[in-house]
Amino acid sequence: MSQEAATQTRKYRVLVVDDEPSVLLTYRMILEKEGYEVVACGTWREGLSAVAKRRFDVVLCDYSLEERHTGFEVISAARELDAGVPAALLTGYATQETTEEAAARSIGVMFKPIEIDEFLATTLNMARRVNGSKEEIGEKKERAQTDGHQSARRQRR
Amino acid sequence: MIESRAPVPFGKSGIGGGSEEVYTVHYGDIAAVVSRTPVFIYDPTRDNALAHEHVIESVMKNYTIIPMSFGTVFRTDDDIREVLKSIYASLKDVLKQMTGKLEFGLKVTWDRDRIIEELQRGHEEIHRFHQELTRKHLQSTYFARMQLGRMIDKALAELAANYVREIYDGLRNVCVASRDNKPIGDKMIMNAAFLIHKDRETEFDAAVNRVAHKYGERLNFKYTGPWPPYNFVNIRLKLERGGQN
Repeated sequence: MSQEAATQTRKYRVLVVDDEPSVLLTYRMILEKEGYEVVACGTWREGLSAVAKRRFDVVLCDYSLEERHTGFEVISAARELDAGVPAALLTGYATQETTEEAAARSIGVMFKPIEIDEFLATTLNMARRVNGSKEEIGEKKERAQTDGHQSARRQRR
Repeated sequence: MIESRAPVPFGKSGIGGGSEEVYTVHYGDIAAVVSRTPVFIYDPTRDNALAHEHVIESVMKNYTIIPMSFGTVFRTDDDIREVLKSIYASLKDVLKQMTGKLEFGLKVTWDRDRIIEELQRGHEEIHRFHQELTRKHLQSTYFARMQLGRMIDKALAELAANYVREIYDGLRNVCVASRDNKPIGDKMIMNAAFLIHKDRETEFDAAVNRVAHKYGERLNFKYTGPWPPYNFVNIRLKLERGGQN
């Protein structure tokens, strides 16, 4: 990815939902390295909570989530609040029915294993498709607060 | 819930924007601390939660307390007496166990991105694999990246578990009991509650600060309390929702 693209993508906020912790961490590291702000959720419920709190430029969900939930549910919830948010399912296998449902709902499908360059290019295209040059939509990545390190501070009520 | 035979006034409560007297409803030597309200489900807003906490704080000054969930509403004082009667033995037992004890919360977070960077530089196996990916131009290969992610995830989990064990080791001798709750979010590695004797509060304070000092900038400690023993009392009431007949 070019430096210019990396600079642009710094402002895009991506939600990633995957119930496999190490896979979720990997997506997060890959996207953060490219400058995205990433919200990573390990469960369907966390995904719903995230989309209720914030708007995203792109939503990426594993198709098969815990307790028989699917990425479709998280994407639907995100689109209830932001109808045009670009979204894709990440899956190792999808039935024709799933693929057709995704197409009918304008949801992309990225099949695993996917080359990381392709994954990044697809994510960037999705972010650009809706946002175009509207860079003001996103926010810069918030750095972790590190002001509490010096000592334990009890907060009395 | 508190232990008291005589009525005790606790001032006024501002929950729901109102201002009602806080008084006690008794069954024998056990009392519920209550205020009048419509049968209503209160939203756990900041103001309402603070009003609830303010009452608990007042009661805790002089009494051992068994906390009820925020927003618990009964239709009548007689209903409250009926509940006190039905769980009297359990309440007495818990009050006895909690006498002279306080709860403190300890949440520990870390800068995970920084730790990951350190692992990529300093963890022998991860560093070697990372170098190999770069040398063989495999950074874009899905399985290679997932393998690296798995290694980092495992190393993070091991590191976090070690820290948590060391923190518990540093506090075990000054607490009565502890409870390990699920960390919230991906930056938190420890979300614990500690039950301590009131007369060892200063010791516990010192122990927490000693442990926090040991980790310097690597870990952030958020230490709260004293609280009622929310995490160490488990009395479940079978209650109906407001509005149902």
